[in-house]
Amino acid sequence: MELELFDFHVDDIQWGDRTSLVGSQLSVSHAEIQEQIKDLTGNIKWNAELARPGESKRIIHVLDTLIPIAKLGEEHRTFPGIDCPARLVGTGQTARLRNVLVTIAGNFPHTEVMTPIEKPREGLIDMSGVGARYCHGSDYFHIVLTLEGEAALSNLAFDQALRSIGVRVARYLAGVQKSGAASERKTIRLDQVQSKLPKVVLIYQVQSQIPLVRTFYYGEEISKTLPSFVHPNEFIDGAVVSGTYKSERKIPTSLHCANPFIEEMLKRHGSEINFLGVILSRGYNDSFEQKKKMGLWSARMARILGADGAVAMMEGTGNTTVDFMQTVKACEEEGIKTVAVMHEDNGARGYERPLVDHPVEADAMVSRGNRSEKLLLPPLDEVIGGEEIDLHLKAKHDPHTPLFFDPTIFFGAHCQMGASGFRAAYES
Amino acid sequence: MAKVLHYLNQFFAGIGGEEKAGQEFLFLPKPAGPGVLLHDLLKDGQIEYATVVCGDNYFHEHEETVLASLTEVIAQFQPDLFIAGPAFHAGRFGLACAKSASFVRERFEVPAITGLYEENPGTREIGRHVLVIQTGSSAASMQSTIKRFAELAVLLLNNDQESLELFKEEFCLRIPRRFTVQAAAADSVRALDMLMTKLRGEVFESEIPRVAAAPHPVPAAIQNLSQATLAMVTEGGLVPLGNPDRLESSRGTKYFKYSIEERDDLRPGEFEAMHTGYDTSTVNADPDRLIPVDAMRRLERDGNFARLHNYYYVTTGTGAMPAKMQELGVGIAEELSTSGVNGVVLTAT
Amino acid sequence: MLITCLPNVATQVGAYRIMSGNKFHYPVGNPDLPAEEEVKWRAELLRSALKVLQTPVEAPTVFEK
Repeated sequence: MELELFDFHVDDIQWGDRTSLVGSQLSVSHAEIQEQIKDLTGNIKWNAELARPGESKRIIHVLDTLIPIAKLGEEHRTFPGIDCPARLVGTGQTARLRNVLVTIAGNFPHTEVMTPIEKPREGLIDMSGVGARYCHGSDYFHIVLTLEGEAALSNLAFDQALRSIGVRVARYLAGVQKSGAASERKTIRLDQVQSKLPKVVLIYQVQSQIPLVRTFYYGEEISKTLPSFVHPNEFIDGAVVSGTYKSERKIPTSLHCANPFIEEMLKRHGSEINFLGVILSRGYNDSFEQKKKMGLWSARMARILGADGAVAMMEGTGNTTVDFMQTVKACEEEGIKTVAVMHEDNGARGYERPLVDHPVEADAMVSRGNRSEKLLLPPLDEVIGGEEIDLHLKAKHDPHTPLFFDPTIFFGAHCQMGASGFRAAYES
Repeated sequence: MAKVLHYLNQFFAGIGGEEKAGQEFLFLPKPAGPGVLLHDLLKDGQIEYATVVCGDNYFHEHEETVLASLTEVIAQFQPDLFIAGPAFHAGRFGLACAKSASFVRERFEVPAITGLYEENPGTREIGRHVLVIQTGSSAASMQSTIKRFAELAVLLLNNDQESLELFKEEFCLRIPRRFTVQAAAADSVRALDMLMTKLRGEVFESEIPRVAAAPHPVPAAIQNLSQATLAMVTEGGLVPLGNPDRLESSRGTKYFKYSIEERDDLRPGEFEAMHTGYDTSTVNADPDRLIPVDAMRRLERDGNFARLHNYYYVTTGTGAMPAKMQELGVGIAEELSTSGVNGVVLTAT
Repeated sequence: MLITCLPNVATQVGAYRIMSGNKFHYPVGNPDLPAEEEVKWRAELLRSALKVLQTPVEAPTVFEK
């Protein structure tokens, strides 16, 4: 399975009459975007804005981010199964606007009928300042589509629409005319390697439970599924799409498509490791027995694949830590040496035990930092996406005033704290 | 001209003893109590010195108001250094010192110091970068302690990092806590590096230690259940429909009790679960699935135990910090104990 | 005593008397059963819980139903 990837980098993004990439200048036409999504925006009020790295802009109510990705010269589509029939992906040629994001922000039409678990969490993207290193997206160029669902629309319909809108715009942008634009060309395949290199899998545990809290594979929610073996090229082509809005703790679609762990393992494939592929697993199982079984199944799959080692990472927090740790424990018991990556909840003043669950077998932990430690966040000049920040259902906050809050207010914070190289450590 | 703001309680400020523990927040544009000596020791440096005072009880009963007043003082006075205490072994004062010093450091990035005996409960409330001078247990050592404060104050005002480290080593309490720091590479890189080391069978250091919870005494088994009063408690957020007391749906900051007197079961439509951590629809359809009134009434009628307590207790656990939950647990336990309850069934989601 | 679906977390926190519940969305519920059956099931579960209250322990212990 070989994928030829063409990564385009942009230096600037501007509104223009036509959407195109000229050199490294991306022009976006509002009218053309509107044309692309007109059949999806029934009962949705929307507007579009741009944001660039380093700008004093704060995007609020972020629901998802997507990297523009499109297949080249074929019938196949990226993000298979979303707004198109599903075909297998991960081969052929794919173009990406590597440092651009289609950012979907906004509000569901009927949060008042949602049970607490269904409610989206607030998520900010700060394009500069203190917060920039805690949120996913501060080093990307954004087309922000702010969507407001109107009363006639149901929550589920809005959920579907926002996903389709994001995917359609992402495909469209990656597929635009490019002139004089240089791209980085990479061939991604898992070559046969000399057998002396250790065989390694990536265990990738996502959250998928109920509508509005889901993850999709080829457009199907994976809420009641068994662990699956997925080729890294499938992730790159958008086979895994986010449908959860638990902002700080989610893996955004853009990080499913361009995942640092997958990228690092691809990089080391053939020289340090024999990267076998990804075990896509699912947390938040309903009982301890079910959590244990998910762990056993993931470990069994790793063993059958012949893995010597595994890196494990997860989406979410709280009880899904148990599913995760059961997976780590089961892998170690199958003789698969495992390193597990987790955020810590040491409390605002650092006194609390770092993890909800920490069995003896989890002896190789990589930390993403203390996500309960509060930050002093000065306001930024402009706010995109709404008028008020929701402090996780407890209070509203004026985004133009200073905020003293922990990183859980930032979109993709768990992933980004890890990517920024944060970890927790003892200080006296 | 450097500015020092000093927090004291009613006693050390010279206002009064225990009878004045309700003293409201007060600003004095001058040193008071031990601040007089401290100001004297710092006089060479041209210091403008002010004091804020609060009664030991007043602080804890009106913490938000006190911190709001402190915010106003900080905005107006604009101190370069904040000093609280020293509190020695005084618990309420020590907590107030820890909280006020931490607040000032966290919100305003003003260097903050305090002085505590190592067993002072205030040592459990120290924020990042707040320096805690180790003191004896009694205020008899005030003079020598204030001299230490003066030394540290000078180092901080001059930003003498090297000497600060030496001072900390020798004179400050070590209170190890976990905070976010910058590592050399992204988590993905460190994870693969650690895996390679582990696969080679070499020594590596896990970044997150296993930390045991502090132990506490084992409650004795109930000897005579047939004479016992039992109560139900949950962190599942079950409240009367409409959530009259506004229980949060995550990280509860309070607990509430609701009557089940004369109820044989809990009906749908009369209760709802405020909790973001589980799918509440099944419990909403029958709240006995979280607070098992129907089952407990049956067992009560059959004589398995004497009485089901008239109230169930509730808070919301998801995302909560253990320290807060412990505080709420203590409150609930006290109320249950006073009400003659002998045993508790807790249900968790 | 504590009825929970995360008995391993409970032992790590230091709870002493622990019993497994059903699913974490309904620890003492069993919605698959018809209503009257469910109450009987729940009463049996709580009957076991009462036994736990009468059992001396020395360390965090997870009891079978």
